[in-house]
Parts: sequence; structure tokens; C-alpha cells
Amino acid sequence: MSVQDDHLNFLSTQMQSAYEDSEIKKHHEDITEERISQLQQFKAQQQKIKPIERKIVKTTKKPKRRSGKRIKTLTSHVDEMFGTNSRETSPDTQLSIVEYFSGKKRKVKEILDKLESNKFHTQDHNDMKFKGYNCKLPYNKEEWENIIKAIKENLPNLSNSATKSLKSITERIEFENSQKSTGLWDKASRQPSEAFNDSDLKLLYDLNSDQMGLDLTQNDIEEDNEIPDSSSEPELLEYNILGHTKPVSKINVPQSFNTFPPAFGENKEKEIIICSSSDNSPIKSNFSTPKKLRPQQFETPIRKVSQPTNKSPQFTSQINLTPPNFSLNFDTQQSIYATASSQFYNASPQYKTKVIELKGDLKIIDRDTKNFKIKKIGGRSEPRDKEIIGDSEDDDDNEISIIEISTLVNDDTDFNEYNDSMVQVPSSPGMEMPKTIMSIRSTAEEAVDDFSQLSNTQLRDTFKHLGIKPVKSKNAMIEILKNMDDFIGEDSKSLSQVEFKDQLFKRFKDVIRSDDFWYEKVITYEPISIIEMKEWLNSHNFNIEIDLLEKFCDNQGICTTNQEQTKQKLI
Amino acid sequence: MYVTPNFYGVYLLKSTVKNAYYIGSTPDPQRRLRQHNGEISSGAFRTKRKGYRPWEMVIIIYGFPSKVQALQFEHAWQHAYQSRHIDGLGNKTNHSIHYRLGNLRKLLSSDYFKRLILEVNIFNREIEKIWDVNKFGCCHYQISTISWHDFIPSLTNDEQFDIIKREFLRIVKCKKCDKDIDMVNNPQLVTKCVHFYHLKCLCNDFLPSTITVDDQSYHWRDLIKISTKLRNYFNQ
Repeated sequence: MSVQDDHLNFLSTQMQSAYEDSEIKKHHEDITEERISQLQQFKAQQQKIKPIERKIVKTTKKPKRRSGKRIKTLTSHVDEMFGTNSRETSPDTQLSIVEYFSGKKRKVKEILDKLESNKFHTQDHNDMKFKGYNCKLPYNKEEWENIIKAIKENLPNLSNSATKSLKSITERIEFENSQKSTGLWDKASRQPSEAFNDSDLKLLYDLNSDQMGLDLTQNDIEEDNEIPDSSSEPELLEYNILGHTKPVSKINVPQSFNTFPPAFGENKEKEIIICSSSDNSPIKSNFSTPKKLRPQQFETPIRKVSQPTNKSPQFTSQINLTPPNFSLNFDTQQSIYATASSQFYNASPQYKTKVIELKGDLKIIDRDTKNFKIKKIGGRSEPRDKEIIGDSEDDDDNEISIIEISTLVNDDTDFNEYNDSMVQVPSSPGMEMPKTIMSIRSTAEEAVDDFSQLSNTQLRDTFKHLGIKPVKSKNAMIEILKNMDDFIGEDSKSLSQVEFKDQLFKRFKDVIRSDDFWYEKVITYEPISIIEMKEWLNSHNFNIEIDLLEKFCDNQGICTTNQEQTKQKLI
Repeated sequence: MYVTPNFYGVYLLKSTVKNAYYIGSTPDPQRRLRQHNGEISSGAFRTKRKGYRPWEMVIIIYGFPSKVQALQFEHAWQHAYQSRHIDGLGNKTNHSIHYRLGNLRKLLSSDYFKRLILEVNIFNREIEKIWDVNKFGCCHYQISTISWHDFIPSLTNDEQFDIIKREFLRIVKCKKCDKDIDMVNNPQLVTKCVHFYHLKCLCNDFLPSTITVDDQSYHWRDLIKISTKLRNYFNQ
């Protein structure tokens, strides 16, 4: 380099130093190149294959995906991608490819063999179209998954076509798999079979006469899902087991149910544990009380079955007698596909909750025993009377504490309160609880003038029909309906919801307009206390519920307030 | 005695520094803005935060016939997802301006507020553009775009009322029902649109939003403002 320097004349030392820097750089580069070339010989052979491998993927004929995805046989697909027919690749590279996929040479050979064998197999249906999914897969699901994993690890950047093809293969495999075994939902939706197994018979012979009540089986039979009538279902007799020493064998089974929807009423603490045949653990489900749906919706609660144990319905040959003091706990963890006329029995304890408001700021220790629970939800302060000016001692009087008491529902007497069944099949007959044996009929069709004859559900139905919130007690509902009818002057049942509302609002307007004082308030948009309005209406013997009043005011734009009206506040 | 407030507006504040908004209500926007920015005492807690001042008032909605209704509007706008008046856009965490404006549109056309025919004024040009975009495709609503400088002085305008007040000092007649109106001795709800009327006499509908008298239309809320003020004045 120094020799070259002699021939160059730089105008400034800066330029010279820059030149020298560049010379040094060049020199360095030369050296590194030399060294790299030296090292190249030591490079692992495999590295060469990587780029080649990609080439292959790119140059494969893209399986022509027309708009309606044409499905091919798996082997034909593999053939295309990696086949030996028309490719220019050497056997070495091919082997290495597959080696990549599986990671082991031994496996590679296996795979190749399989492919070969399959090739011969499917030589016949070389049309490449699925014919009833009869093709054999070279791999089962797990193997394929492992393969895919290996691919993903080793070849992170597959081309689109490659990934797509792999995906299609996985889908295919999954499909194949799903065909054979039955899925969870299939099982859940299947009707429990009523045929007797051998073991069933054995069991039955062993039972005494009083134990004959139970009759439980379920099988994995691939039948048509017949929905039997309620009469043909096996009766579920007394299973009131607490205290009884009924030795029941380990049975793998869910009950079949007579009625539907879930009855909240029958809440005796019946617990039946159904033990599986293989292990001794009882099947317990987490049965959560179904949420109350909005009245107009209708859903069939198809319960899932999670079968934690083996799928085979065969009972073990030994019939072990469980110890006498067990309790059978069957919950709804059984496959249930019930008709509209069937009922559920709820085994978990149900509570009836009441919310009470008591005067005085009470301090309540939350109690939670088996039979009842108390807790304080909150409190509020009651607005004071305008005229009375309380002294300091009176402070507590204006506090109100809101307490929630839940008692266990033991009796059937409280049935009527819980008619709020989740499932309301509008035209179905009897959603009634077993207690209310009255004749069942749909609501709007039968013209029943006297409200008191209607059952609870029917009253609720009318409420929903009219768009009003139903109330709990039957008497209250009757009263409300009567009042509304008086107010309007027409039969509320005979109207549709819109008509009903129109009539109601019209009546409201007329009443308000007739009264100077209230009309003035309305037209000046003075904020009106709803309670006062209600009281005024009451004084005229119009007993209308507050929520209806609210709806009316919202509809008309009348400003309503809960605040106490004081002179200064509103300005 | 109930009187319609002179002015009560619901406003939207925007921070000039960061992308943050605040909804509030006030009878006096000028003073309130100063409070928010810290010039006077008792600004809101939320607007006290460090990096957000100074605030700018970008939208104001006015024409409420009562303070209570304005507060209800404010609450509904702040909690649109919960309000019973509208089916609010978004949920508790959506704070962007698009959601706010969309919900505003919805509120203005909701059953409860539509009769009031509230006035909306947008001070800020960018916000006006966003309003026009109408990202969620909600109902149309007419807005005005008076600038802040012009808007503020117009609020303290009581001259008109004084004039009318004086006219009622003598006995007049309601044009519609032809009865005497003696405000001095017997104050009622009356108003004047060219001629004198009982407020009730003007109502054809149950609760009108606009009235046309002699080919001129008046906003109902203006009439009730006058009438309540008169009643209040003469009752003292």
C-alpha cells in the first residue's frame, strides 16, 4: 500500500487520511474473505440442503385450488409435494427432506415404506377424488402432529402453499378421527338407552324387591336419537335415599328424566352419588343454578355430559356393594335430551330469598348456616318528612337497612313463587309444577274474565305480554291487572302490547289534562316527583304501578325526579 | 315557585395538552371554564390533574327547561352504556371522541330528550369535522358553530324579558279564550307571542315542542321560560 501512496497526491491531509482508512478497510475485507473461503470447506453439508429444500417447495406445482376447494387424497397430495415421479430431485435430497420432517432416520424409512405401500394401495383410485373418504391415512393423528411440530421447528418459513397443504392434511386427519369416535356433543345429546345389558340384568336379579326402583343405564349406542314419550321412559321412583341403606351397585349412569324444564320447586335434599365402574370416585358435577332468562326467550338447556371415566358401558363383572351410608348424588351431569313435557329435579338446595327493609341502622352479623342465611345488603336514608324537624337523637330513625334473608325451600308450598321456569314454550301445555294439577292451557287464547282463576304462570304471561314487570305474589298481580283494566276501561288481555300502551298513555294524558295543577307542571317541564304523581292518581282511585308511570313520563319527555322538591334547588 | 333557568348547558371539555375529555354542566360557561383551568377556585377534581390544563370547551348543549333535566342529560352522556334512554355505543372503557359524539347524537334524538329540541353549538373546528364524520352513523342533528367570543355575551341578555314584563302590568286579554289576564292580582302562566295568551290555551297537543302562531313558530321552551319568569315576578 505504501507503494501506491507514492503515486497519489492529496490536496489535503484529510483526504489522505480518508483514503488511508478506506485502504485499511479493503485490506480487512480481503482478509476476511480469504478466511471465509478457507472455512467453507468445513461447513456442514446439511446447510446446503436448506436452500435447496426451499427451491423444491417453490417449484412444486401448486395444487390448483379452484373456487370450490377440491379435496384430494392425502397420499396423492404427499405424492405431489414430495413424490418421486416427476421430480428432478435426487433420492438423497428427498431423504433428507423427510428426515427433516421427522428428525430421525429410522422414522424416515418407516414413512417412506408407508408411502410406498399406500401408493400401491391407492393405485386404484388414482382419480384423486375422495370417494366416501375411504382412503387410508399413512399417519394417525398424533404422529402427524409430531411431524407438524418438527416442521415448524425446523422450517420456520414455509411458503404459503406449503403451509396450506399441511393445514389441509391436518384437517383431513382430524376429520377422519372425528368420524370414528363420537364427540362430546353427540354423546350429550343422545337419549339414554333403555335396553338392558347383561350386567343390568344381573344387577336387577340381585336387588331386592324394594330396591327395584332404580333402573339406570346409558350406553354409547349409535342409534337414532329418538325422543321417547314420557310414558315410555322408565319411572324414577323414590330415590329418597337419606337414611336408607340401599346398597346400590356401582352404576355408570345418568338418570332419564320424566319432565322438563328444571323444576325449582322439588328441592328436597336428595343426594345420590353415582359411582363409576372403573374408579371409586363419585361423579359430581358443578351444577350451577341456571340464570333467569328474560321471559321472552326460550332455550333448551341441553346439559353437557362430561364423562370422566371410561367410555365403555360395560359394567365390571363384580358388583360391589357400596357401604350403607352413602348418599347418591346425582346432579344434572347426565346426558339429557328431554322433551318439552319432561321435568328436571333439582338436587341442590334451593333458597328462597327475601329482601326486607327495616327501620334503623342495624348491624347484622352475616350468618350462613344450612337452613338460612342473613346478610345486610345495604342501607339508605329515608327522606325526612317536610314538616317534622328531627332532633339529633332522631338521626337513626331515618336510616333504613336492607337485609336479605334466604331460607331453604323445603316445602312444596312455596311452589307458586318459583314458577318462573326458564323455559317457556309458548304453546306447550303444562309447565306446571306437580303441585298445581289444574288443567293446563295457553294464556291468551282462553278468555278468562276473572283473573283469580288464572294460574301464576298465566298471570306472568299476561304481564310479559303487556310489557310490564311481573310481581311475585299472585294477589298483587291480580290486583294490578284489575286496576289497569279499571283505569283503561277495557280488557287488558284482549289487546296487544302496543295497543295496550297506547290506551294506557292516552288515558294518562286525559287524566292529567283534566287537572289544572298537574297539567301546568307538565307543560312547564317542572321536574315531577313520581311518587307524588302516583299518590295523586291513587286519590282518584287509579292504582297504577310506578314503572308504568315512569315509562309514560319517559315516553312523553316529562321530567321526573326522585329528589325532594325544595324551593331553591330547582332554580 | 318553579322557574325555568335562564341558561343551563351541558358541555364537553377537551384538554389542549393531552387527548382527554370531560363532560359537565353549568349555568355559566365562562365562569365554569375558568374554574376548570384553575383561575378561580372550585374546579372539578378530574380537571385538576397535572398535565391536562388548560382545558377548552368544545361543545355546549343548551335549551334545557330545567336544571334536573340537564343533569340527567349529563349523566346519560357520561354513562351512555348504562342509561335507559339510549342504547349506548361502546362500553365503560370507550372514551374516544367518536363514541362521545355518537352517543350525543343518540341522546339528542332519544324519546326523552327529543321534544326539547336542544341546541348544540360546537366551538372547535376539528371537533366539528369529527362530528360531521359521524363514525357510527347515528341520527342526524343540526348544530351551530358560533365561536366562543360571540357565544358568551349572548347569554346575559335580559332585555327582552323586561319589556314583556312591563306589558303585563296592566290588564290584558288572552287572544284565544278572550278572558282577562290580570297578572298583578292573579298571576298565571301566560306568555306573549305578538299577542297575549294563556299558556294552556296555546297547547294543542298534550306537550308541544313548537308552536305556530300567526305563521310564526316559536320554541315551546322559550315560551315557558317567559311564562315561568313572569309568574315568578308577579308572585313577589
